[in-house]
Amino acid sequence: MNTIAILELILLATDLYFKNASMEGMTEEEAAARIHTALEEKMKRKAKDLPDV
Amino acid sequence: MRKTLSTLLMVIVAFVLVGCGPNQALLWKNAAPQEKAIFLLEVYNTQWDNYIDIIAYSTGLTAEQVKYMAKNEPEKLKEAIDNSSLTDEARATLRYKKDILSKIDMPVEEFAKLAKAGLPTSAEQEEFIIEMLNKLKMRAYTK
Repeated sequence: MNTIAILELILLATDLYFKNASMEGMTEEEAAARIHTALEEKMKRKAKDLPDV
Repeated sequence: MRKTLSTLLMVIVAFVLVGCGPNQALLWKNAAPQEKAIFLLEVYNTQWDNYIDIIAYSTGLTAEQVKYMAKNEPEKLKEAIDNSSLTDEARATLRYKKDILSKIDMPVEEFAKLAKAGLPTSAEQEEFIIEMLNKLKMRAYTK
């Protein structure tokens, strides 16, 4: 298991835990604002723009 | 020995974090499409940033420099990546990550746009995205 793979595992695990936990009790307005922001950020991150290694 | 112990410790921490959390499958099943969209978008964005951060770290550049060079100076960035500290294994992991992100790029966007508009989302699309994210997770477990 290499370092990147370990970091990956921890990142995904913590993502699952904190993101799910932080969504509990969210109002509709909060959800709408958060989806808007996250979608805007996503539009700036196209997979094809990632440099090849 | 020391490396094995630290690896084991990190894996245990990851499992504890997941184990201490609420029932993930149930949370997911009961989540509204908007909540699912937020989760998928944020995971995608985090993974995309993580890819850039690893290149930045291994080349001695900043993440902003990597993003700028990827758009404006691709040859210079390629040279920096060729001379970086990335191992063959790390490169293979990054290629795998880029492949997964490429496959879910449009589906995540479409899913989020439908959820944002309050329109019905596609169960097949959701399943596909989750399957791809699980593949990414499984690679982390097995590599």
